[in-house]
Amino acid sequence: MVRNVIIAVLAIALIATGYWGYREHRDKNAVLQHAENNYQQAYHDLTYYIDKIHDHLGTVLATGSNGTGANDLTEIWRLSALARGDIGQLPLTLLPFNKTAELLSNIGNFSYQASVKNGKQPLKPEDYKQLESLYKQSGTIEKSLRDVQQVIMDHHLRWMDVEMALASKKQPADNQVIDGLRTVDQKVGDFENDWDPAVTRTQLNEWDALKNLTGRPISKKAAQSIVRRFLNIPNGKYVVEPLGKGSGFPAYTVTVRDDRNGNTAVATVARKGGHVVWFVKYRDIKDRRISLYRASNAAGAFLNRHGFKNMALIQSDQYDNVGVFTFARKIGDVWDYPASIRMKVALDNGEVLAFDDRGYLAHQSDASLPLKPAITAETAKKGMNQTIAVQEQHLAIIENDLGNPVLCYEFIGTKGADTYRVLVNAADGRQEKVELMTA
Amino acid sequence: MQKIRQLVLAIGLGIAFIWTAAAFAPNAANAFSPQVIQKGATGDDVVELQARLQYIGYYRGRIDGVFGWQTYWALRNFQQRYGLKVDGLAGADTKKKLVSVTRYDKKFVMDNIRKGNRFTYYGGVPLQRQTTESYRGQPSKAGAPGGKGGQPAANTAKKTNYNHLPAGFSQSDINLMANAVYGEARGEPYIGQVAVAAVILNRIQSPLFPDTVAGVIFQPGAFTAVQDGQIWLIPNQQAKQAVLDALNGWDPTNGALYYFNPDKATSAWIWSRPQIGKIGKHIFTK
Repeated sequence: MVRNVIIAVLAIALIATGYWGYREHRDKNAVLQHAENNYQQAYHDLTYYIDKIHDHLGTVLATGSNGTGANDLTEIWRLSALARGDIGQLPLTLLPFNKTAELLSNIGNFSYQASVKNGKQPLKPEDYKQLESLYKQSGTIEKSLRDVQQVIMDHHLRWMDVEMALASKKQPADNQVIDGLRTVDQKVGDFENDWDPAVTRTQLNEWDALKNLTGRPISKKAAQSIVRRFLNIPNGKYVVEPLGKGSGFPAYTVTVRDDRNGNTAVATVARKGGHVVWFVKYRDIKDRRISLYRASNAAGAFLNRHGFKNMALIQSDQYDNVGVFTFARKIGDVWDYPASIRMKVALDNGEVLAFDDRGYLAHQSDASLPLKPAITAETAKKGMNQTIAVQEQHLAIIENDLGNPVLCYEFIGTKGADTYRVLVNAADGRQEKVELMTA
Repeated sequence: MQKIRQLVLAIGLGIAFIWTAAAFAPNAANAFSPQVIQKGATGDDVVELQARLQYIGYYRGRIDGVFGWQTYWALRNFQQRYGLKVDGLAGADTKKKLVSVTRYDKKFVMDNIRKGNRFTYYGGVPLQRQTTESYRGQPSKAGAPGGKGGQPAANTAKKTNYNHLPAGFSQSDINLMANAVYGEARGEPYIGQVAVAAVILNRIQSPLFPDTVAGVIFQPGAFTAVQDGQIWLIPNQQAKQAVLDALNGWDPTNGALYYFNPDKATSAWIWSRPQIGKIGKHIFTK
């Protein structure tokens, strides 16, 4: 009797476990399938978009010289953004697919500049040549991507396996998808493009500009004493390390643990000239005892003390118990915006907690620009939207899309509840930039 | 005897009345702290500044405690109109003038801010008509239950958060980044957390990666914390501060796009990237 009951209970338990296992298995497969389908869609879309980019490039070449290619160029711009979006959805972060992503980004920027910014003007001969080359390149990529697609379809390969293979420690050797995409990227790398600086520019380039710093190279020891003085930490445990070869400029990273309170600070000092590029201190700030205004004065005094003269406060922001300030160099009455210094000040005692002057260091040469405007402020104002009521104006140096410093009239104006910043080139009255000020 | 008792009672009541009146008088004593208020500031003084400027019609924006452009122009217009020095700073003279020409109902304004109501504070319009339904439903009793008088306002002032965000980023961007930083680097020193946030921002700038915060964070395989779900842990205050530092332009990585933990050494490819430096447990690379 007892035995039968036990058998019955065990049998039920077994069936229940089996059913539970089956359901788990089914659910897991459904989730995996879902992820796999997303990957599949992203890849198929990617090949489709590159197909289309190739077609449109061909069309532009045929219409070319009288400005009718603008429609196709805008379409290429749009498609390249979509294609990049699909790359972002594929598990390719750890796969060298960089060159392809970069080429797509450049194609996008190039077509944007050739169409939207160029207006209805006919294409320049060098743009035309570039387009011909891009047409060939996109054709090659298209074919290679299609080949990989074929392999995936024929062999029922799964992107999930690609993901696993990439995440594993050993170099995945026998995955056809990975091999195929690697080949695509190698082919892209073989192309030689002579891009305009405006096409490839990103804000990350600012780091590379620091390699043009001048001055005598300094030793590790000197770097340590520079930081000691700059951060005012007389006694602490200092560690100085040179930056690796991935860094765009030669420098030391100095880490210090302050003996007085155990807080840590980190700074980077450029090897040439021993300039402090940035530092960050960290500590808790429990309360707020001084105003943002007094903190900005403390920041200004710090700059003065360390030899940064003629700096104007251009922005201040309070985040709970810290104030963040941006200063720009003033050359006469011209505000040199790219030559900026950013500082973070604690609102309990006014201590400077963080500092960053890489803009200031990278834009030393702005001072040699001709700083006499060719047109008057009144003439410059005529070119802008007349519904904006100008409240403030001054001369300013800004960095244009090409990454070059240009002298502008800066007009701060209001329209309804919004505040705008309009920058008009002081040489030819062209509107360089209009910004909606949100903060 | 009876008369004396009545007299004492009357005097007592009178004194009590005067005290109560003094306790509930709107501001006279607690108008503005002595600080100079400048653009970019946040806090109770900014709320009062906005409310007072709105009271006389100079400020038409939302009273949110963040000294932005709209407050700046309102203040300048006020200074111009009243013959003060037009500098956009609320210093002693400006504040004195403001206090003398406006009234400030601190309780009404702070209550509405704390409850997140949409409200205005124009002079000459009944306050009940300037706030949302949800507030009107509640009787506007002075002081909190327990009769602590002015204290509740002081307590809430500390807790009130004024959302001041770096230009170009939303609160959800910051929260999402704080989640990613916390999930990826919660055991790291502060500077290592700023570094992780900076890598996310560098990737947004780079042509090799998606162009949005979410695009970069959720890129498949990009961050282990996203893959194993640790990104959904609740981030602490330090992670949020690290994100703010990175958004404000600090980049301890000197321009890195990748990082990895050498002890868990993931793919062989990541080792081939040109290294910049090590922060905490992570090696940062181009």
